[in-house]
Amino acid sequence: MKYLLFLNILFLMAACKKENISTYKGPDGITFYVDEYEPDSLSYSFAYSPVLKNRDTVFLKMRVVGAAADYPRVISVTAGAGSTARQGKDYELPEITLPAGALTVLYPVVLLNSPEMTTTTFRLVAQVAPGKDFQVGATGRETGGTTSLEKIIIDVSNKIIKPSYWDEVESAFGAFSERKFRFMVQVTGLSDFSSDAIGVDGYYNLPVKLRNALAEYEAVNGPLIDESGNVVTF
Amino acid sequence: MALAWASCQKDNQRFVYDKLNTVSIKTADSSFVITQLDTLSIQTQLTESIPSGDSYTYEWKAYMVGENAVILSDKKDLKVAVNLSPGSYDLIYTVTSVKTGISSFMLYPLTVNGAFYEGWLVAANQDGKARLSFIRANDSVFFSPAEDVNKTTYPGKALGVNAGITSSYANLALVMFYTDQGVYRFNADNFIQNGTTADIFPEPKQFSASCAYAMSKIPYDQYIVADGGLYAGIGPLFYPQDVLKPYSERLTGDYTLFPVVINSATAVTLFYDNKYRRFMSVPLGDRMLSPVSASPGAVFNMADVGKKMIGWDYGTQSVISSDEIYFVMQDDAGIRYLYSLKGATPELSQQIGNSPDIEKASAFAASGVVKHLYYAAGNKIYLYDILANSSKMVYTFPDGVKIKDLKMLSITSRRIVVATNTGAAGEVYYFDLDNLGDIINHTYVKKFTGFGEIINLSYRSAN
Repeated sequence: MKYLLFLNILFLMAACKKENISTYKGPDGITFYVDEYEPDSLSYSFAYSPVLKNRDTVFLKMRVVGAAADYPRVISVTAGAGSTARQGKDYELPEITLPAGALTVLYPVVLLNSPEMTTTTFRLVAQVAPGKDFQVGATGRETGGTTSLEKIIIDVSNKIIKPSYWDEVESAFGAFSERKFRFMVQVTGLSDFSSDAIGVDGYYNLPVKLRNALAEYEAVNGPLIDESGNVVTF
Repeated sequence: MALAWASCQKDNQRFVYDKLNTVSIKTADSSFVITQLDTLSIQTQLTESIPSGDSYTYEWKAYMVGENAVILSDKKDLKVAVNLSPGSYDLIYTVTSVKTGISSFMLYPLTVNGAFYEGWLVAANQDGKARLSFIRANDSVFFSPAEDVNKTTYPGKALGVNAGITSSYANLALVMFYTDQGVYRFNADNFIQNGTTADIFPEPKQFSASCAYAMSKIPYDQYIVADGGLYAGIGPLFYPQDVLKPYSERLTGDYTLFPVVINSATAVTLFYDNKYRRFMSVPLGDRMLSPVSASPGAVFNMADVGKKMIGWDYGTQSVISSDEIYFVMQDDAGIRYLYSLKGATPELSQQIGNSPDIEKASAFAASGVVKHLYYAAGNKIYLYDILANSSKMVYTFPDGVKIKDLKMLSITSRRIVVATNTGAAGEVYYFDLDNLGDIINHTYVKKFTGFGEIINLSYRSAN
């Protein structure tokens, strides 16, 4: 019996042995990330800008997978597989520096308004490029609801397509044409003319504003002709 | 078995009836009209059918359709400052016996008028400022209600005032006050300011002359004619929540409108272009101002009138599209004519004959009952008999008095209201009319003073 008691004490002592906690060790990573209801791709059209733009910048959220560092670190992004956009013609992906101590940063994707964009939509698959400071970080959804991504797709063009809401505002603005829509954006500074966006007063007042602007345009330039050869009216 | 036997016992249906005490209610009046915030006092006389010494509870409750009832008092007699919104209510008085729970009721129509429920708006300049005054229908005068209510002053020179009231489809009651430094919009019920130039117009704007403001006959749209341009806003018919939203830009086109909104027809609202001397129209709910179509065969061609409009007033009015509106026109030789539209159809076109001083007339007011047009020239008032095509003088103010405005109290067409200036001292006179259109006793029935230099009058009708 006393042998059995001795063995039990022995097992109990062994059970209380201190165990070191395992921690991750490896190179720091970086990923794009989006919030819970944020899409993981986006479309951009220069056509919706009220003023002519030759370039614009879209910012992508990035975060470090790893610890903060007490020195600046370099982040690189490259065009991944599936990209049709052309470096230097349709986009620029600058190398940026993550400040010391920082864990998140907004990465600037520079989009260039190339002449071909009026007829073609280009795709840029922005993807983390491994470098001396960062590897591609672990991806997936974290408990807070955000999702880490290796890449984000950007479709860029200078085209306008007929908005799905146009039928509900056609009685205010008339038949849709791309040229008319560009004129509307240019005059009003708006790019969303849906009923919800412009309200009842916008539904009635914006056509007057557009008619006045069109009259000024025609006084200088003559009729505004759309892509189908029709005279633009409001 | 015994219980079953007993349950079949015959009921002889004999009851004992006792008369219970009820209360009858008497009051001196059977309906009440009160101005908001005034004290409503109603003495009641209660009579018991069987004097019993019962005690009672009381309740005075006001109820408007679509609104929650408001309990005004729990006393036998009502004496309370009425803080209800202007409108028509049912006033329900309930007397309940504590002993029996039997209630007696009386229902009275109760009308609550706003403090400024009806009367004449007076735009004037006084002490170097624009001033808006109000002569209430009961002859109370408020010399600066908008300034008092909003605790501000209105700098610059007054250019005019007008009101837009509709209760047929939605309760919209607005007053527009124009100065050379901007326009101010007020709730007509209480003169609380609810808009300035920046709220009403989409772009900064200066005014140089009086403006016209009115709603379309079916109040789908609001219109302001300012400095010859037409601006459209949303009316209260379908979008009452948007009536204070900014107006449109100046409606597109080459025109210079006379300051009148001709809302005599339901499908379109008409305007008059003094640049090309023709009528123009905007369809209901639209924002396109276009010249009207030619009207060959009519008494005049609305698309090519060829004369300058210098005055107007409503004639007979109706709820359908047949209002008659008179227009005083002038040709290039200075000869004056009277035109009219009935709805949107030409009705009358004649040169004004046998009318002294008609070439100098500056203000016009038409009867809605008979074919009479009053006009003011200098210090004189004339009555133009449209059918006889001749005029006679009906009143002369003393030398030095200048008639600035002349309006008809259109709800009766039995009173003309005249604004005069003697230097910078403005006065308002009421003249009552007999069945022939003459001024009763050849003198005014009321006179109001102290307005400063009057610019114009406008009637704020009841909601």
